[in-house]
Amino acid sequence: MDSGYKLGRIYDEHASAVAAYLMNLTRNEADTRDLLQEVFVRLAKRPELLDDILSPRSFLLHLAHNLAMDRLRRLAVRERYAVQVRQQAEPLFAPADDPDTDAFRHALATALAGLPVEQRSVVHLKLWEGLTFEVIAQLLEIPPNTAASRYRYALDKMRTQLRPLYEEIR
Amino acid sequence: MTPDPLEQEMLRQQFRPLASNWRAEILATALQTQPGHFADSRGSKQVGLSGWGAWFWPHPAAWGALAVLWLTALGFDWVAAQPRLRSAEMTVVSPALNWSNWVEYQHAIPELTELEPEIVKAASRPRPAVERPRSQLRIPHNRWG
Repeated sequence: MDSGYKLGRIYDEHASAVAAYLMNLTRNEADTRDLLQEVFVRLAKRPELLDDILSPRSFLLHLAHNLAMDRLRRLAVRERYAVQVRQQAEPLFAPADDPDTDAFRHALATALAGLPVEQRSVVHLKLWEGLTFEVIAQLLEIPPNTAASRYRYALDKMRTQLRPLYEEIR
Repeated sequence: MTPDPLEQEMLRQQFRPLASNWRAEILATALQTQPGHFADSRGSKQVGLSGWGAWFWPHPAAWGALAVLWLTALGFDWVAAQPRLRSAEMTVVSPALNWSNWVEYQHAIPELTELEPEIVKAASRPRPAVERPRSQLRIPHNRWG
Protein backbone atom coordinates (compact mmCIF):
# COMPACT_ATOMS: atom_id res chain seq x y z
CA MET A 1 0.00 0.00 0.00
CA ASP A 2 1.25 3.49 -0.81
CA SER A 3 2.71 4.98 2.34
CA GLY A 4 1.17 8.38 1.64
CA TYR A 5 -2.26 6.82 1.35
CA LYS A 6 -1.70 4.77 4.51
CA LEU A 7 -0.60 7.83 6.45
CA GLY A 8 -3.58 9.78 5.12
CA ARG A 9 -5.94 7.04 6.27
CA ILE A 10 -4.41 7.04 9.76
CA TYR A 11 -4.75 10.81 9.86
CA ASP A 12 -8.42 10.66 8.88
CA GLU A 13 -9.19 8.03 11.49
CA HIS A 14 -7.21 9.27 14.47
CA ALA A 15 -5.91 12.82 14.04
CA SER A 16 -9.00 14.48 15.54
CA ALA A 17 -8.80 12.41 18.72
CA VAL A 18 -5.06 12.86 19.06
CA ALA A 19 -5.35 16.60 18.46
CA ALA A 20 -8.15 16.91 21.06
CA TYR A 21 -5.95 15.12 23.59
CA LEU A 22 -2.97 17.33 22.76
CA MET A 23 -5.12 20.44 22.93
CA ASN A 24 -6.42 19.38 26.33
CA LEU A 25 -2.85 18.94 27.58
CA THR A 26 -1.24 22.00 26.06
CA ARG A 27 -4.18 24.37 25.56
CA ASN A 28 -2.22 25.93 22.81
CA GLU A 29 -3.18 25.54 19.18
CA ALA A 30 0.32 26.09 17.80
CA ASP A 31 1.77 23.52 20.19
CA THR A 32 -1.00 21.08 19.31
CA ARG A 33 -0.29 21.45 15.62
CA ASP A 34 3.45 21.04 16.10
CA LEU A 35 3.02 17.97 18.26
CA LEU A 36 0.48 16.39 15.92
CA GLN A 37 2.90 16.96 13.07
CA GLU A 38 5.70 15.39 15.11
CA VAL A 39 3.53 12.31 15.69
CA PHE A 40 3.01 11.88 11.96
CA VAL A 41 6.62 12.64 11.12
CA ARG A 42 7.71 9.84 13.47
CA LEU A 43 5.14 7.55 11.95
CA ALA A 44 6.35 8.36 8.44
CA LYS A 45 9.96 7.74 9.42
CA ARG A 46 9.15 4.35 10.89
CA PRO A 47 5.90 3.10 9.34
CA GLU A 48 6.56 -0.40 10.68
CA LEU A 49 5.73 0.93 14.17
CA LEU A 50 2.04 0.37 13.55
CA ASP A 51 2.42 -3.09 12.00
CA ASP A 52 2.19 -5.13 15.20
CA ILE A 53 0.02 -2.71 17.17
CA LEU A 54 -3.45 -3.92 18.08
CA SER A 55 -4.82 -0.46 18.78
CA PRO A 56 -3.30 2.28 16.59
CA ARG A 57 -5.31 4.90 18.48
CA SER A 58 -3.74 3.95 21.83
CA PHE A 59 -0.31 3.88 20.27
CA LEU A 60 -0.77 7.32 18.72
CA LEU A 61 -2.09 8.71 22.00
CA HIS A 62 0.91 7.21 23.80
CA LEU A 63 3.28 8.84 21.32
CA ALA A 64 1.41 12.13 21.55
CA HIS A 65 1.43 12.00 25.34
CA ASN A 66 5.19 11.48 25.51
CA LEU A 67 5.84 14.27 23.03
CA ALA A 68 3.50 16.63 24.90
CA MET A 69 5.18 15.84 28.22
CA ASP A 70 8.58 16.50 26.71
CA ARG A 71 7.29 19.79 25.38
CA LEU A 72 5.80 20.77 28.72
CA ARG A 73 9.04 19.91 30.48
CA ARG A 74 11.03 21.92 27.98
CA LEU A 75 8.71 24.83 28.41
CA ALA A 76 9.97 24.49 31.92
CA VAL A 77 8.23 24.65 35.08
CA ARG A 78 4.97 22.91 34.64
CA GLU A 79 3.42 25.01 37.39
CA ARG A 80 4.13 28.23 35.54
CA TYR A 81 2.72 26.69 32.37
CA ALA A 82 -0.35 25.51 34.23
CA VAL A 83 -0.98 29.04 35.49
CA GLN A 84 -0.52 30.29 31.97
CA VAL A 85 -2.99 27.67 30.74
CA ARG A 86 -5.60 28.83 33.21
CA GLN A 87 -5.14 32.44 32.25
CA GLN A 88 -4.84 32.20 28.48
CA ALA A 89 -6.56 28.92 27.63
CA GLU A 90 -7.58 28.64 24.00
CA PRO A 91 -11.05 27.22 23.42
CA LEU A 92 -11.03 23.46 23.81
CA PHE A 93 -14.56 22.71 22.75
CA ALA A 94 -16.49 23.65 19.66
CA PRO A 95 -18.76 26.69 20.10
CA ALA A 96 -22.38 25.69 20.67
CA ASP A 97 -25.54 27.41 19.43
CA ASP A 98 -27.28 26.88 22.75
CA PRO A 99 -25.99 29.45 25.30
CA ASP A 100 -26.37 27.00 28.20
CA THR A 101 -24.32 24.36 26.43
CA ASP A 102 -21.80 27.00 25.49
CA ALA A 103 -21.56 28.14 29.11
CA PHE A 104 -21.14 24.54 30.29
CA ARG A 105 -18.40 23.92 27.71
CA HIS A 106 -16.61 27.03 28.81
CA ALA A 107 -16.86 26.02 32.48
CA LEU A 108 -15.75 22.48 31.66
CA ALA A 109 -12.73 23.74 29.77
CA THR A 110 -11.82 25.99 32.68
CA ALA A 111 -12.24 23.15 35.17
CA LEU A 112 -10.06 20.87 33.07
CA ALA A 113 -7.40 23.55 32.77
CA GLY A 114 -7.35 23.80 36.55
CA LEU A 115 -6.34 20.15 36.92
CA PRO A 116 -2.73 19.02 37.05
CA VAL A 117 -1.69 17.70 33.65
CA GLU A 118 -1.38 14.12 35.00
CA GLN A 119 -5.02 14.12 36.13
CA ARG A 120 -6.18 15.92 33.01
CA SER A 121 -4.66 13.26 30.77
CA VAL A 122 -6.35 10.44 32.72
CA VAL A 123 -9.73 12.22 32.62
CA HIS A 124 -9.44 12.78 28.89
CA LEU A 125 -8.45 9.21 28.11
CA LYS A 126 -11.13 7.76 30.38
CA LEU A 127 -13.99 10.05 29.46
CA TRP A 128 -13.51 10.91 25.82
CA GLU A 129 -11.48 7.95 24.63
CA GLY A 130 -13.36 5.41 26.73
CA LEU A 131 -10.20 3.53 27.68
CA THR A 132 -10.01 1.23 30.68
CA PHE A 133 -7.69 2.04 33.56
CA GLU A 134 -5.45 -0.85 32.52
CA VAL A 135 -4.99 0.59 29.05
CA ILE A 136 -4.57 4.11 30.44
CA ALA A 137 -1.95 2.77 32.83
CA GLN A 138 -0.02 1.18 29.96
CA LEU A 139 -0.36 4.28 27.86
CA LEU A 140 0.85 6.63 30.56
CA GLU A 141 3.31 4.13 32.02
CA ILE A 142 1.82 4.28 35.50
CA PRO A 143 0.20 1.61 37.72
CA PRO A 144 -3.54 1.04 37.08
CA ASN A 145 -4.39 2.03 40.67
CA THR A 146 -2.65 5.36 40.16
CA ALA A 147 -4.65 5.94 37.00
CA ALA A 148 -7.90 5.15 38.83
CA SER A 149 -7.10 7.37 41.81
CA ARG A 150 -6.06 10.26 39.56
CA TYR A 151 -9.38 9.97 37.78
CA ARG A 152 -11.34 9.98 41.04
CA TYR A 153 -9.49 12.99 42.44
CA ALA A 154 -9.92 14.89 39.20
CA LEU A 155 -13.60 14.10 38.94
CA ASP A 156 -14.25 15.14 42.54
CA LYS A 157 -12.66 18.52 41.85
CA MET A 158 -14.59 18.97 38.64
CA ARG A 159 -17.87 17.99 40.24
CA THR A 160 -17.35 20.63 42.89
CA GLN A 161 -16.75 23.23 40.22
CA LEU A 162 -19.34 22.17 37.67
CA ARG A 163 -22.26 20.90 39.70
CA PRO A 164 -23.80 24.30 40.47
CA LEU A 165 -23.85 25.24 36.80
CA TYR A 166 -24.93 21.78 35.77
CA GLU A 167 -27.82 21.80 38.24
CA GLU A 168 -28.83 25.22 37.01
CA ILE A 169 -28.89 24.45 33.31
CA ARG A 170 -30.29 20.92 33.59
CA MET B 1 -18.72 1.58 36.52
CA THR B 2 -21.58 3.56 35.00
CA PRO B 3 -20.92 7.26 34.47
CA ASP B 4 -23.02 9.64 36.54
CA PRO B 5 -25.16 12.33 34.81
CA LEU B 6 -22.41 14.91 35.08
CA GLU B 7 -19.91 12.56 33.43
CA GLN B 8 -22.46 11.83 30.73
CA GLU B 9 -22.94 15.53 30.16
CA MET B 10 -19.19 16.01 29.92
CA LEU B 11 -18.97 13.14 27.48
CA ARG B 12 -21.49 14.78 25.16
CA GLN B 13 -19.38 17.86 24.59
CA GLN B 14 -17.69 18.16 21.27
CA PHE B 15 -14.11 19.21 20.87
CA ARG B 16 -13.12 21.85 18.36
CA PRO B 17 -12.71 20.32 14.91
CA LEU B 18 -9.31 20.17 13.33
CA ALA B 19 -8.38 22.99 10.99
CA SER B 20 -8.88 21.73 7.46
CA ASN B 21 -5.51 22.97 6.19
CA TRP B 22 -3.57 20.97 8.78
CA ARG B 23 -4.09 17.67 6.99
CA ALA B 24 -2.26 18.59 3.80
CA GLU B 25 0.51 20.45 5.61
CA ILE B 26 1.15 17.77 8.23
CA LEU B 27 1.06 14.89 5.76
CA ALA B 28 3.32 16.73 3.30
CA THR B 29 5.86 17.41 6.04
CA ALA B 30 5.65 13.84 7.30
CA LEU B 31 6.10 12.35 3.84
CA GLN B 32 9.09 14.57 3.13
CA THR B 33 10.92 13.10 6.10
CA GLN B 34 10.04 9.55 5.13
CA PRO B 35 13.00 7.27 4.30
CA GLY B 36 13.23 6.64 0.55
CA HIS B 37 11.13 9.68 -0.10
CA PHE B 38 13.36 10.85 -2.93
CA ALA B 39 13.22 7.48 -4.59
CA ASP B 40 9.54 6.75 -4.75
CA SER B 41 7.69 9.99 -4.41
CA ARG B 42 6.05 11.70 -7.32
CA GLY B 43 8.08 14.51 -8.78
CA SER B 44 11.29 13.27 -7.22
CA LYS B 45 13.27 15.39 -9.69
CA GLN B 46 11.53 18.47 -8.37
CA VAL B 47 12.24 17.42 -4.78
CA GLY B 48 15.89 16.78 -5.72
CA LEU B 49 16.19 20.24 -7.22
CA SER B 50 14.57 21.81 -4.23
CA GLY B 51 17.04 19.85 -2.09
CA TRP B 52 19.93 21.44 -3.99
CA GLY B 53 18.19 24.76 -3.62
CA ALA B 54 18.02 24.25 0.12
CA TRP B 55 21.74 23.49 0.14
CA PHE B 56 22.77 26.53 -1.79
CA TRP B 57 20.18 28.92 -0.51
CA PRO B 58 21.84 30.21 2.69
CA HIS B 59 24.74 32.04 0.91
CA PRO B 60 24.17 32.10 -2.85
CA ALA B 61 26.72 34.87 -3.44
CA ALA B 62 29.41 32.94 -1.58
CA TRP B 63 28.68 29.77 -3.54
CA GLY B 64 28.74 31.72 -6.81
CA ALA B 65 32.08 33.34 -5.94
CA LEU B 66 33.51 29.94 -5.07
CA ALA B 67 32.33 28.54 -8.39
CA VAL B 68 33.96 31.45 -10.29
CA LEU B 69 37.18 30.89 -8.33
CA TRP B 70 37.21 27.23 -9.24
CA LEU B 71 36.59 27.93 -12.91
CA THR B 72 39.39 30.52 -12.94
CA ALA B 73 41.79 28.07 -11.31
CA LEU B 74 40.84 25.38 -13.82
CA GLY B 75 41.41 27.84 -16.66
CA PHE B 76 44.88 28.77 -15.38
CA ASP B 77 45.75 25.14 -14.93
CA TRP B 78 44.70 24.35 -18.50
CA VAL B 79 46.73 27.24 -19.93
CA ALA B 80 49.79 26.25 -17.88
CA ALA B 81 49.49 22.65 -19.01
CA GLN B 82 49.74 23.50 -22.75
CA PRO B 83 53.58 23.96 -23.07
CA ARG B 84 54.18 20.86 -20.97
CA LEU B 85 51.90 18.88 -23.26
CA ARG B 86 53.67 20.16 -26.34
CA SER B 87 57.13 19.25 -25.03
CA ALA B 88 55.85 15.88 -23.98
CA GLU B 89 54.55 15.33 -27.49
CA MET B 90 57.97 16.21 -28.90
CA THR B 91 59.87 13.78 -26.69
CA VAL B 92 57.65 10.85 -27.45
CA VAL B 93 59.70 8.19 -29.26
CA SER B 94 58.01 6.13 -31.84
CA PRO B 95 57.88 2.35 -31.24
CA ALA B 96 59.79 1.73 -34.52
CA LEU B 97 62.70 3.84 -33.28
CA ASN B 98 62.70 1.95 -29.98
CA TRP B 99 62.93 -1.37 -31.82
CA SER B 100 65.85 -0.22 -33.98
CA ASN B 101 67.69 0.97 -30.85
CA TRP B 102 67.24 -2.38 -29.26
CA VAL B 103 68.59 -4.23 -32.32
CA GLU B 104 71.60 -1.89 -32.38
CA TYR B 105 72.22 -2.57 -28.68
CA GLN B 106 72.13 -6.32 -29.30
CA HIS B 107 74.81 -5.94 -31.99
CA ALA B 108 76.97 -3.86 -29.65
CA ILE B 109 76.96 -6.40 -26.81
CA PRO B 110 79.91 -8.50 -28.10
CA GLU B 111 82.06 -5.37 -28.49
CA LEU B 112 81.21 -4.31 -24.98
CA THR B 113 82.16 -7.70 -23.53
CA GLU B 114 85.51 -7.56 -25.35
CA LEU B 115 86.23 -4.23 -23.74
CA GLU B 116 85.56 -5.60 -20.27
CA PRO B 117 89.12 -6.65 -19.24
CA GLU B 118 90.37 -3.15 -20.06
CA ILE B 119 87.63 -1.64 -17.94
CA VAL B 120 88.40 -3.96 -15.02
CA LYS B 121 92.12 -3.14 -15.23
CA ALA B 122 91.42 0.54 -15.17
CA ALA B 123 89.13 0.16 -12.19
CA SER B 124 91.67 -1.84 -10.13
CA ARG B 125 94.48 0.72 -10.54
CA PRO B 126 95.34 2.43 -7.16
CA ARG B 127 94.07 5.88 -6.74
CA PRO B 128 96.55 8.67 -6.58
CA ALA B 129 97.19 9.76 -3.03
CA VAL B 130 95.25 12.74 -1.94
CA GLU B 131 97.31 15.64 -0.75
CA ARG B 132 96.86 16.20 2.98
CA PRO B 133 97.90 19.00 5.30
CA ARG B 134 101.21 18.51 7.07
CA SER B 135 99.56 18.07 10.43
CA GLN B 136 97.74 14.98 9.18
CA LEU B 137 100.76 13.30 7.65
CA ARG B 138 101.63 9.97 9.30
CA ILE B 139 105.27 9.38 10.03
CA PRO B 140 106.47 5.75 10.32
CA HIS B 141 107.74 4.80 13.82
CA ASN B 142 111.00 3.29 12.70
CA ARG B 143 112.10 6.61 11.21
CA TRP B 144 113.38 7.81 14.61
CA GLY B 145 114.80 4.55 15.54
